[in-house]
Amino acid sequence: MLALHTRGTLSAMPGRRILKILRLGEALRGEFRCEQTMVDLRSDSACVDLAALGRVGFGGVLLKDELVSTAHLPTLTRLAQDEVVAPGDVIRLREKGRVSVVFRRQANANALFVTERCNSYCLMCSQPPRNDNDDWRVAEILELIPLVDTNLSHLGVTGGEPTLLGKRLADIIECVNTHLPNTLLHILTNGRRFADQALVEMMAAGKGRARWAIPLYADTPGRHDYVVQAKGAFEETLNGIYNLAEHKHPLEIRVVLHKQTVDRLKALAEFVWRTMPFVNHVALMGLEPMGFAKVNRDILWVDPLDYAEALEEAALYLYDRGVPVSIYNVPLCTLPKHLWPLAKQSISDWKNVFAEECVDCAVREHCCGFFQSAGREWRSRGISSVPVGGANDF
Amino acid sequence: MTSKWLIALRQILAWTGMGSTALTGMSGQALGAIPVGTSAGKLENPVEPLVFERPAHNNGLELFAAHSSHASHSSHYSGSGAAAPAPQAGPSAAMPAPGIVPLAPRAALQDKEVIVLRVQAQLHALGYYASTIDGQFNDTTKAALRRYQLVKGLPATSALDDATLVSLGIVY
Repeated sequence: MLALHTRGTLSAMPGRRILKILRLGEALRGEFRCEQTMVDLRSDSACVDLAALGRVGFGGVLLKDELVSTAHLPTLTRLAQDEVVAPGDVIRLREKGRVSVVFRRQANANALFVTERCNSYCLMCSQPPRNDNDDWRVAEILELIPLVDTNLSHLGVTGGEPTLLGKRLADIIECVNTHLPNTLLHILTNGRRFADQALVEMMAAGKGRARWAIPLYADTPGRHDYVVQAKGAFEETLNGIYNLAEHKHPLEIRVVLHKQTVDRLKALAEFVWRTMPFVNHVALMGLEPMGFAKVNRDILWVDPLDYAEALEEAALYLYDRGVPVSIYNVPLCTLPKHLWPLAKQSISDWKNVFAEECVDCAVREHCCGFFQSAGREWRSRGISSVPVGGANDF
Repeated sequence: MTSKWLIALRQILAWTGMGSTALTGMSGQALGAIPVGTSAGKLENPVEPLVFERPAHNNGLELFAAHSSHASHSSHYSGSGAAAPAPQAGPSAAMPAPGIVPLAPRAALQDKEVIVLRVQAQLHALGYYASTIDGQFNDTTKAALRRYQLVKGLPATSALDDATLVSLGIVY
């Protein structure tokens, strides 16, 4: 696990900046705007003339220790944790040397966090919405996208509810189309706003570029509306799904596994298969114990061992009918072995940890492990190390 | 028939060239080098291999003979690819090789300080250059370049000629 934030000593850099971190060689290749490039000289500062870098017009240099320099070049030095920032990353630099990594070249997943606002209020929301005006995020993202590596295969879009941005979400997609022609977007949305055809038409740029990942928690309106704490959400989401499908947008259905969803899981699988055979992927996901989920543990928590049977039934129902299905966030030791091939390493590396029991586990390198936020009370009683020989299924 | 996939290939190459980076890798000029059949749809020699000829960019030697340094270095570095108006070409680029569509040279090649920085950084990484990486094409840099050329069996010109720049991975 690698933190996303750190702090350094900053000289002469007013206000918030978005900067690409590159070693000298790559910085000079000119793939990225030099005024938005910070040259990482932490490993070879001694032999470089900073004045020359200033003349080229670089946005700054990242140094290990402070150098006495005549160059009028902003410098960032003495990062509290050097390993947080690596060449290829994009950072947000704020006053007092606060550094946040907004794109990480080596990460297993990168996402654009587009807004904190949401029109649902899900019981297990890991990112509780805030109604603040955060329009600055879109501006920052439009600045960030041209600094992302062009060989990136996937980029997430998350929030909050991205569709609340309306036209500005389309702007983000178009910006990705322009600058990242090789990148597919994975957009997490509740789909409710897509009940409005006009909004679907607005997202035309996303066709073949974006996969819309929409949560559905039950096959009955009452249950779904209760989970997302919004009346009428089930109907809006269904209409949204059909509108997107009608416009040939790729779709993923996501189900979070907890006390309110597992008892109708099989029925939901059947509902998906019968009413939306066009979906490209179904993800059955373990809880992330963050945000509202922590407060609502009593009405949510089910030990994965106790829902394994329901999960197996639903997953195999879909699998047998040719619907691509994956299991996220459920450790292998709590899953029936024949479901292992469906289980993915789904947890972003910056919040991914393993338990003590995992130290000598034979399938650890195939396992999703745990969210860092998952304390003892969020871990299954079935957590155990899989012995060598138990790993034959891979 | 044969030319259809070539046309498709040409379009694909043109597309990545637009979207990603016009400054490095395959430039628009190289596209002209792909043999694509004429309206008759037939190649003169269908089994001819696809060879990407070198784009008609500024020769490294001419780069230094020609003009003084630019007022604003950073303006050459606009990362917005083909959408940005191309900067004015140097004198030598005004006379491209016959038969090749004249396009603006890649911006990075115009800025001699950047080129020298890149050469110095690369020679430094390879162990030929131990002095300061400062963008100055001075005697130390020339000596390092000469050593590199001798080792690589290139003509020992001490200059930034095409063969040397290619060998260093600075142009393709």
